[in-house]
Amino acid sequence: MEQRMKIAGIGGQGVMVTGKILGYAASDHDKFASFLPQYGTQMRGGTSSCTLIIADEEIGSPIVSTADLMMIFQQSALDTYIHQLKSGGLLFINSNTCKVPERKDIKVIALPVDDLAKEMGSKQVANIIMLGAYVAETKTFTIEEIVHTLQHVFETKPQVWEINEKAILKGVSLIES
Amino acid sequence: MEKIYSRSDVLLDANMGYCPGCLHGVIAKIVAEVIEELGIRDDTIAVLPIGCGALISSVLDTDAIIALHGRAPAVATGLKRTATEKFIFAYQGDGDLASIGLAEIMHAANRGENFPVLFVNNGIFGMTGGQMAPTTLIGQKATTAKSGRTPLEGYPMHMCEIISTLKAPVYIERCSLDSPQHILAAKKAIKKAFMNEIEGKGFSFIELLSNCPTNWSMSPQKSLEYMREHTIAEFPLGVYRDETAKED
Amino acid sequence: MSKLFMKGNEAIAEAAVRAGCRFFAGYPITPQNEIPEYLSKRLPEVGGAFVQGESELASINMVIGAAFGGTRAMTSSSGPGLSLKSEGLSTLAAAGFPAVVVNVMRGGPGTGSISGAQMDYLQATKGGGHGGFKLLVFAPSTVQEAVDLVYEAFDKSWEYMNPCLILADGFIGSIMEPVELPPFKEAKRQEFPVYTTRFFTDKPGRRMCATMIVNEAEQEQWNRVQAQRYERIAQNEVRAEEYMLDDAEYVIAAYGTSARVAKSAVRMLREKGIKAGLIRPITLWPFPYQCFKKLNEKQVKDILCLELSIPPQLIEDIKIGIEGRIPITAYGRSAGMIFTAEEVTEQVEKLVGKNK
Repeated sequence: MEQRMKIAGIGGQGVMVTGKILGYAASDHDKFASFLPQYGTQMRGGTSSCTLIIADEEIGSPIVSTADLMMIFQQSALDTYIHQLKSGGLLFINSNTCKVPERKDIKVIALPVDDLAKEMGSKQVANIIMLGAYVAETKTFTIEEIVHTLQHVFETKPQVWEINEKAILKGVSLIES
Repeated sequence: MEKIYSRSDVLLDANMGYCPGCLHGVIAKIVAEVIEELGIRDDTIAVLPIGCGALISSVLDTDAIIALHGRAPAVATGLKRTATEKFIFAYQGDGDLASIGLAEIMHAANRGENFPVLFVNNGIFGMTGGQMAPTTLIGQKATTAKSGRTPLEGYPMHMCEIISTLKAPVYIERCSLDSPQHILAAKKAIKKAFMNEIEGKGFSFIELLSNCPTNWSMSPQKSLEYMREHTIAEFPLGVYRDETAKED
Repeated sequence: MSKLFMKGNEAIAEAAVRAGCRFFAGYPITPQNEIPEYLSKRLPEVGGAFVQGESELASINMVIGAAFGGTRAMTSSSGPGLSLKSEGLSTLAAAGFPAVVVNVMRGGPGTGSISGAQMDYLQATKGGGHGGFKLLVFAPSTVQEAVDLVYEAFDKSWEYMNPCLILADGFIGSIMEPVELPPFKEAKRQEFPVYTTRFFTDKPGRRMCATMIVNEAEQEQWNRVQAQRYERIAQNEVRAEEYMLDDAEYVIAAYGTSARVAKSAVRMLREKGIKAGLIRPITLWPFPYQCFKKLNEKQVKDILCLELSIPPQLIEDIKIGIEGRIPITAYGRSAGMIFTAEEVTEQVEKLVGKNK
């Protein structure tokens, strides 16, 4: 198994955090992982993207030119990267900010994660809802595994743990229902 | 018969290599005496400069490291921060400290590093053959200012005054080596600066006005007269900062 | 033991602490800033000292001071900073002091771009300062390897009494990967005999360091001693990884991040039925010439020197190893632009086409 993915959006949408959480999960569960951030020159509000590779064997190139999977949080990022998704690839998009692309050779999972996060009471968990959907769809990790990793990530912020746990399970339910 | 004076044990019986009449030898002598009086010889590491100042390594019976040109305060910082039980002092000339090493002295002083710096100001690059230093007086001749320094080459830099603008240093004094009376005062200042480190008080800076008969093209006697007439007039002697006096 | 998911620069810093590093001085420069940032917090926790130097020059000279005192010490920087440190590096080598220096390479020359690149090969292995000294140069290609090599670099620099350089790049510095950290070493301060003492002046029982040795005969004698040290390092420390070389007709030569991309390309080429292989130097000095000398010119048709550098630099050493027996082609990107495995595959396929 080698999953090469691109996660992109704009600063503040939790793009880097999402990539890192998946890296932590891979690391926690004896998989190889490689996370490479790309920052724009703007400190805030610019494009934000990262590449993440999860594999069962040692990873060669850390560069993702053709992605197996993409998680996109903003239309501008979708426009930039959609052509890098391989035929037969899997695309997760935030449907509150992105239009479903015209490509017919890919599978698209469009979720209104901004709205869902607002309903849950915190705009900031939109990326965690998406993460839940990713886990349920790809089964790269079990639900228990990703919850276990998230627990570690939020160890120092117990006040936000509850809403993040709810968010991940919400994302899972969107796929499983 | 009672013995009232002898050469310090901290001075080895070796050739220092200084020119006749050079006051560096006097500094070596008083530094050695202070180290002996404080009983710190085996703990001392001298951080020496590039230039004539480095030659004291051949007579001073302590550990020593000759730093790259201008970097003695940085080397001393790395040493004192890690070998905290050692007694560290830096010794620099005017080209070393006020020209190529200006950043290092300013920042070591600004951090209040717990060691003293002895700054030997003789207004010239000695070892390389008499080029202009940042402390060369206006009108004073050098091999790179053959008709004498003009303001085009800048004015003599007053390091005690410059370092006095910083908050951290605890003790700043300018002394001269032109007379026995001034040498005794210089020894007292050096001892106080060394005590400041031993007591953990912080950064001390002692400027020592000195001569260079060879490159000034003067007899030793004449060079002392020049110091009294010109050098001390440009660089006033005295205590520029003494935080320890306030504590006492 | 469970793995931690760490950023390259932070992993390098933690590996140094675990190797007994108790002093760090450095000056901010991208893309290595996480190393000093991490150590500013971490070193005081283990009784070490961190100083943000006022300059690159001051930083390397602080390391010289700490090393003289017997402390395991490190500094890090990127290309332009290494140029500024080069007098200090020469002095560390001249004095025979142990220390570890990290270069997280960026674009160049001059100020250059701040993204990852491999522009400092020749500086690290051939130049790096005046006086013809040598540094033991390790080139990691993964975060785990960076950790392992930094950890070992401290021991090696003490074993040979010679500074050791970690030549990483901005990609390895910023990438996050799972790593297994080595055990924590409590390295005590250890004063070593200073060799230059006896060349400069005779003070029995005193440690005296002067790299200025004005007596010509003594300077020459010390140069001979150092040359013997370099010879020992060259005999014992050469390291390289050979990947799918046995039947390879097309050999990619690459180090660091480039070698990872090369490895992916080799796998892709093999799937296409092209017999590709990889030589990855791990020590850049001493260079693994033997890996290239033993290549059979009847089997290997072409060598692709792959590097994040324009013009190519690694090629200078490959030429020495190959002695003109096999054609060498260079392919490089630079300034933070990086080749994809597909791009490298195409380059090798071009060589295959040329040989048909």
